This record gives sequence, C-alpha cells and structure tokens, in this order.
Amino acid sequence: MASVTSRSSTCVLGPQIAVRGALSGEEDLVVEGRIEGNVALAGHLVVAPGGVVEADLEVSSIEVHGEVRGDIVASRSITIEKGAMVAGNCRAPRVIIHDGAKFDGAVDMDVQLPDGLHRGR
Amino acid sequence: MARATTNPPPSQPIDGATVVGPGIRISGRVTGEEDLHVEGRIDGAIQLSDTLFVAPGGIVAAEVEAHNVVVSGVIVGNVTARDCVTLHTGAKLVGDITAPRLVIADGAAFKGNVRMGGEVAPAREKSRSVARPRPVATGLRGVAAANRGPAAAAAARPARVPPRPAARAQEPSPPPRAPARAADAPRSDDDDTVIVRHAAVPDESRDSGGKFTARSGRPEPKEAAAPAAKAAAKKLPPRARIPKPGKRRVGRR
Amino acid sequence: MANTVIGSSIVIDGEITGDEDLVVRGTVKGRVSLRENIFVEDSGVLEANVETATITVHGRVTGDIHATERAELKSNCRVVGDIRSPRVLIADGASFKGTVDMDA
Repeated sequence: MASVTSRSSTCVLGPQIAVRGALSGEEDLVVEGRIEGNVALAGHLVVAPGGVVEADLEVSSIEVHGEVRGDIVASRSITIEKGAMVAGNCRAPRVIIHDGAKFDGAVDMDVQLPDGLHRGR
Repeated sequence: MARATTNPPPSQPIDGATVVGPGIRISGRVTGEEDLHVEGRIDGAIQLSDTLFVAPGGIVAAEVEAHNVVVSGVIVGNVTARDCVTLHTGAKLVGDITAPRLVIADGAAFKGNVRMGGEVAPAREKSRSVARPRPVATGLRGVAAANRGPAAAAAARPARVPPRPAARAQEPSPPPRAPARAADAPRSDDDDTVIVRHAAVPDESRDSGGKFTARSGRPEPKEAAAPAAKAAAKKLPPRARIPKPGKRRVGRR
Repeated sequence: MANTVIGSSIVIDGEITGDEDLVVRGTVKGRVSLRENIFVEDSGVLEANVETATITVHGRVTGDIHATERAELKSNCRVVGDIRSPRVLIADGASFKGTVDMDA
C-alpha cells in the first residue's frame, strides 16, 4: 500500500519499509522508508523527508529531502534540499545544495580552473 | 526538476566598500573589517570580519576566513565562514569549506570537503580523494556497524534489526552529536536488554521523530525523539506486544 | 571614480600589481607597482615602495616612490622616503623627509 506521489508510475518505498541489501533498478524511486546497503539505480532517486538511506548510492540523479549516510555518485546531478542531512561524499557533474541543508563530507565536481591556477589538492 | 539559477550579485561595487578592480593583483595577506569585492586577483590569505565577494572575473588563490563568502568567480583555497558560504552559478571553488551554512547553486563547480560544524555525524572521515563507492560498501557497513557500538553489538547478536532509536540517534557515533545526546548515553545499556524491534513495527520514537515538520534540521526534533525513545525503551509501545524473554511473566508479581 | 578602493579598515601585507587606478584608504605594507594613478587618502597608510605613473598623497607614505609622471604631496600628508619623478608637487603643510630626484 505504497502511497502514490505526484510522480505517476514511480516506485515508492513506503515509510514503514526497510530494505537491507543491494537494490538496483532502472527507473525512478522514491524512498520514504529506510534503505541500508547499496543502491545502483539508473534513474532518479528521491529521498523523501522521512526517508533514511544508509548506503552507498550510484544513481543517475538524486534529490535528498531526508537523510543519507553514504557516498553518492550521480551521473547527472545531486540536489540536497533544505532540511536534508547528508553525511558522505558526493560526486556528480552538478551538485546543488540549498540553504538549510546539512552536509558533511566531500564534494567532487569536475572543476575546470582557468589557466595559471593549480589545484594543489 | 526545474533548474534554478541564482543571479550573481551585481559587479558594481558599493561606494565605500573595498574593491579590488579587475586589473589589480594582490599578493600577500589582506585583513579587514569591511566587505571586500574581488574583481581582480588575490594570492595569499584573506581574513575579514565581514563579507568576501568574489565577482565573476575575480580570482582568489588564498586561504579565506570571513563572516560570509559569496562566490561568483574562482576561489582556490580553503574557505572558513562564520555564517554562510554561497556559490553562485559560474562559481568555481577548489578547497575545503567550513561553515554552518552552505548554498551551492546549479551551475557552480566545487571540489573539496564540507564541514558544517557537526550537526550531521559523518559516516566516515575521507581524505581529499572521493572514494569509489563499490569497494567501500562492505567496508562502510563494517564501519557503520562499528559506529553503532555496544548497542548494536548487543542487539545484533540475535540477528535482529538494530534498535531503531539508537540507530536513529547515533549515540555511540562521533561526538558532534554528543552534546545533544550526552544525557542519553546511559540509555544504551537499557537498549541491550530491552529492545526488540521489528522493522515493520511502528514505534513511537519513529512516529514522533519521523514526521516532516520535525525534520527541519533544528535540534527540537532530536530532543523530542530522545524522550519519546527513552519512554519507548522503558516500556514497549502498545502495538508491539512482543514479550521480552525473561522480563515479563504473566501472573507473576 | 577609481575602480580599486582599499577601504579604511583593510590591511594588506604583500604586493599589489596592476594597471588600474588605486585608492588607498586603509593600510598597505609591502610593494605597490601600478601603471596608473595612486591616491593615498587621509586615512591611507602606505608602507611600501611604490612604482606608478602618478601618485597623490593625502595620508602617509613610508617608502620610496617612483612615479613616471607626477608625484603630488598634499597638505597634511606625511611622506618619509625618496621620490623619483619628473614632476613633484609638495603643497604647503605637507611633511616630507627624504630626497627628491627629478631626473625621472
């Protein structure tokens, strides 16, 4: 009895669902419950406000409103909304962090620096 | 998902504030107690008690310490802000950010670590290079399980789901959450003997702490969850009705 | 209005180079090398050797000045150091200690 969100035909993990293990897929996913383990999703992952993900994520794009502990690798974008809590490393070509988000970890976007500057990192 | 682009601040400086024009290059240490707009280049170190603005053409190759940092240009160096770091579209920052608030707009580029002062307990400390997720996955689980410390060790023995309130609260994990949870530390001992939780069983602490209105990042929801979880630890929630081994005997006083 | 303004509470310890006008209301220690005009205002303190096209001092300069066009010391300024410039104007009330070389 997953609640249907505004995204039609999206798989939703309801708030009382906990998944432990490796989760993979090729469509969008909304997490209102809990995931522990690994996620490999070729789609858009939404961590809803009450959702908790303790996993390393490899997704196409992700939108975090809830809690994520783990590394996130996205091929398109990572968006961390206000009220979200993310602890882990993020790697994506686009990372958007909104005011009010809590983030602790590293961010890795491809940064093209102008000439004459060395990264030194 | 709409692409939100924030407009960078206008490049016209306010009269009276300090402006480093596009044709100027400063090598050395800049300190001050007013706003600084950089349209040129500064190498070295910047220490301000006010706001540092890096204009779209500005380059700062320096360690930055300021009250606010607003970047539309390039910063290479570690940035420490007492209030907020904002990266507008087109900004590039390579270095670590330490600030209680951070805003990264779509179109900004950033590479480095972020420290917000410890409201979120980090899963692990990583050095500059971002680790590949897969090889770390099992290691993470081991680390996360170790982080859950004695509570998980005791509860995981019977191979059950680790106590939800403890896992949510992350008490044995790193100290940044300790101040809000110092009073809860002894509760771990209670968890060892009492908690039997099933993933599908709703418990009061999850209900009170899991609502969206509580998840605004403020300390209140954690405090609300703590006493609720504490109450839940002391007695089972009415819906659970899972008898604790050795703790409750019907008809025995 | 000059583009680059160093505000009154700013202290720069290092080297400034560029090809723009510079207005100093704060403190600069080190070296300044510009191709344009420098204005040291009343609150400005320059403890640096300066190379510029023109310099106009209302504040304090401690250091050698090499101005390829003109060096102007206004009244109430204090300059300690050597001045090399084809044109030197020292106003009444200026305080100056050093040598003047107008052979550019």
